Amino acid sequence: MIAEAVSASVLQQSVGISITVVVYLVARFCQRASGWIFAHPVLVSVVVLGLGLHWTHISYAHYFASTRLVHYFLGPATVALGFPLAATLRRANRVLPPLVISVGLGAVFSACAGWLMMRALGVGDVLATAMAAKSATTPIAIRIAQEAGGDGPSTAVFAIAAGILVAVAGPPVLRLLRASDRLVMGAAFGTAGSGIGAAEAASIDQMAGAVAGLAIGLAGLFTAFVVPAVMWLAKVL
Amino acid sequence: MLLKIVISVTLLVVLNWIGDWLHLRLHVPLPGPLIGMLLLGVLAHWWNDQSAGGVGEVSAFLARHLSFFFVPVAVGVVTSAALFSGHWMVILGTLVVTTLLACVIVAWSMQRLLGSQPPSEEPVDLRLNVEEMP
Repeated sequence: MIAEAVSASVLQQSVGISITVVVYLVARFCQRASGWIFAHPVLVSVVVLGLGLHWTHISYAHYFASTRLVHYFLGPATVALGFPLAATLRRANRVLPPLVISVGLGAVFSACAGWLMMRALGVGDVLATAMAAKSATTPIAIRIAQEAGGDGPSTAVFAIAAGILVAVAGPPVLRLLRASDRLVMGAAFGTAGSGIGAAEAASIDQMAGAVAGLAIGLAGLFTAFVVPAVMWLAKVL
Repeated sequence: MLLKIVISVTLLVVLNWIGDWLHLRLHVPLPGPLIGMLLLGVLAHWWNDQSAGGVGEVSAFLARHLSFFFVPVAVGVVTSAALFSGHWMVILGTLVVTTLLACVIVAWSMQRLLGSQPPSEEPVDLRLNVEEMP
């Protein structure tokens, strides 16, 4: 990954990374200044950069190559969630059983409901399978979907879009449920929104971020079992 | 301070690399960074607060700004919107309904299952997601 990152020219990378940083910081400023829920930094950055690429006729592949280093550091930054995880592990026997059960329920619901709703609304099997796998984190989701006959790129889009949705709408939804416990928030955001959901949880509370990290792993494992089972049931029934 | 940052980032990069290696070579069914996260969790469990100081601060900073690192890959969602030209309303509807319901189901279940035990810490302020600049 580092070798590929270095292969894009240094100038290209400094431009790509600087633009991404500036757009993100401005988006954060807008969120704090307006307090409007749709002014979420990830959502705003994605829309602004997406439209920018569209208007300047720069391909996404070109942009992504120039920001490879940012993407690379997603890995080490995710590892950083392990630090608050230690505090959670100290109370593992209190936290783990509810977490496993809740994440299991959420992942099973997400896979079944995603597939059924897409099929009921007349969408083909390939996209429905991609939707079923979306609760797993992107790299796992792509593999699960492809093995079950879904489309890899669509799966990635669904998984990421679900993450942005949770980052934007998750906090107000939990406020409605009066769910202010960090364990509850971590489990819900990690399961429904995988990486971007966990990032949102981590920005609110460190330990919630760590719990969300655990939830991502668990949701990935559950989804890996549920999606093939849904496909099998669909064939049998 | 700079030394502390360099050491901490190096540790995170190495753990990420070990995680990727375990994923690719030993086929551990989790992405490399999640394996690295669990490894750091186990390491940090053994450390006392003093030896962990620098890594703790840098980790907290990176974790708080984890969203930023998702931007390059997330921009792909907008640029691949054309994939779904015919179905995008249905797809968006399904995404919103199933994702938010999954969020509600997990939260409700966690609240129920944790509810029998006394809460061990003060609640999180959900309005705090607009946090201070470091």
